[in-house]
Amino acid sequence: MRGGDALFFQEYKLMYGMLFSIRSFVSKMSPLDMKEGFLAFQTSKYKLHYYETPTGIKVVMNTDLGVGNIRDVLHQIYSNVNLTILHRPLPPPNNTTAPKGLLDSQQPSLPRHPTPVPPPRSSSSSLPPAGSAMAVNCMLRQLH
Amino acid sequence: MAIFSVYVVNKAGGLIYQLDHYAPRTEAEKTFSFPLELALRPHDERALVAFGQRDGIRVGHAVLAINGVDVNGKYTADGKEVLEYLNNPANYPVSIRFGRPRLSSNEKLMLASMFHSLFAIGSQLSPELGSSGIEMLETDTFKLHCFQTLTGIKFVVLADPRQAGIDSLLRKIYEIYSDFALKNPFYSLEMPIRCELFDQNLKLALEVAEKAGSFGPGS
Repeated sequence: MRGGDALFFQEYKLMYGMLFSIRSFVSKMSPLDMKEGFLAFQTSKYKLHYYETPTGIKVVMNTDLGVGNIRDVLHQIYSNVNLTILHRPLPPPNNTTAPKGLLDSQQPSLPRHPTPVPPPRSSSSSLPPAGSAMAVNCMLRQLH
Repeated sequence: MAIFSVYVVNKAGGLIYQLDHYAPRTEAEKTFSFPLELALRPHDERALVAFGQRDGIRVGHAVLAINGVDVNGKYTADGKEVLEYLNNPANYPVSIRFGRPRLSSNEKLMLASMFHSLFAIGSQLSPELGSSGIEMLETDTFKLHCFQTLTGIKFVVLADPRQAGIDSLLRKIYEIYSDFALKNPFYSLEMPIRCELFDQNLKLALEVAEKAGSFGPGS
C-alpha cells in the first residue's frame, strides 16, 4: 500500500537504513573478500541497483526486472552531478565564502576560491539542479 | 561454479537449518619477526587485522592459527591471549595464518533473522504494488537466492554468481523439505530440522545442481 502509508513519506530513510543493513549483511556473509560489494537486489516486481563511491555518495536506481548491469550508468549519473554541482566556476547562491579581509590576514598563502557546496546525498530521486537533471534524463532515455 | 551454503528460515525469522556445502578459504600464512607490521584489534571474540594489508592478508581477516596450531577465538590453544602473545618479542619469529573469519552458529542465526527483515522491507520499498520480498541479491562474490513458500518458510541459497538453475534447485529443496522433514512424525513445525534423510537428500540435490549447472525437471 503506497498511498496512505506513513512509511512512504519516509521512504528515503527506510531505503538508507535498508542499504546500510544490506552492506553489513553482505560483508559478513561473503565467502570471499569483496571488491565492489553489494550490487543489486530484485523482487518479483522491481530491481534495485546500487553504486557507492569511495567518498560515501550512494546512487540508487529502481528499475524493471529486465535491466542487467547498469553500474556504469550509475557512475555516469554520479560524475555528471559531481561535475555540474561541485565543479561550478560560480560561487553558490547563499555565498558561504569567508569575508575578504579575514582570509587575507590569517593565512595569506591559502588560494582563495569559494567553499564547495556539500555533495547531494542518497538516491537519484532527490532533485539535482536543472543542468544535471537534463543530463540524467538523456541517460535514462538511452536505457530504454 | 559452486553452491556455497543453504539456509532455511521459519515464519518467525529463526534459522531452522543451515548447511555449508562449499567454503572457498582464502588464507595466507606468513612468518613474522618482531615488531609486527600489521595492526591487530580484538573484535567479536577474534583478533582482526585493522591495518597493514599486504601479501594476501587483507583488512578484516582474522588470526586463524599461530605456528600451525589453530587459535580458539581470542585465545591461543594454550589459553593465552593472542594479542598479548604477539606483543611479547620473546615469542618471535612466529608463523601466523590469516583468513576470512568463519561465521559462528550464533552469527548465522543473527544473519538469518537480519535477512528475514530485509526481505520484508524489500517488498515495502517497491515502486509497484504487490511486490514479493527479495528474491535475489547480487554482489560481486556471490548471489543470494530466496524462495518463500505460501506457508512463510524461506529457503535461501548462496551460490557463485555464474551458477545457473538455482530457481529449480530452490523448488527441489522445498520438495525435499516436505518429503523428509514435514512427513517425519518426530519433526515439529518451525523447529530446527534434525532429520538425517533431509541432510542426505539435500546434499545429493546440491551435487546434482552443481554438476548439471541446472536442475532438470522430474529429478
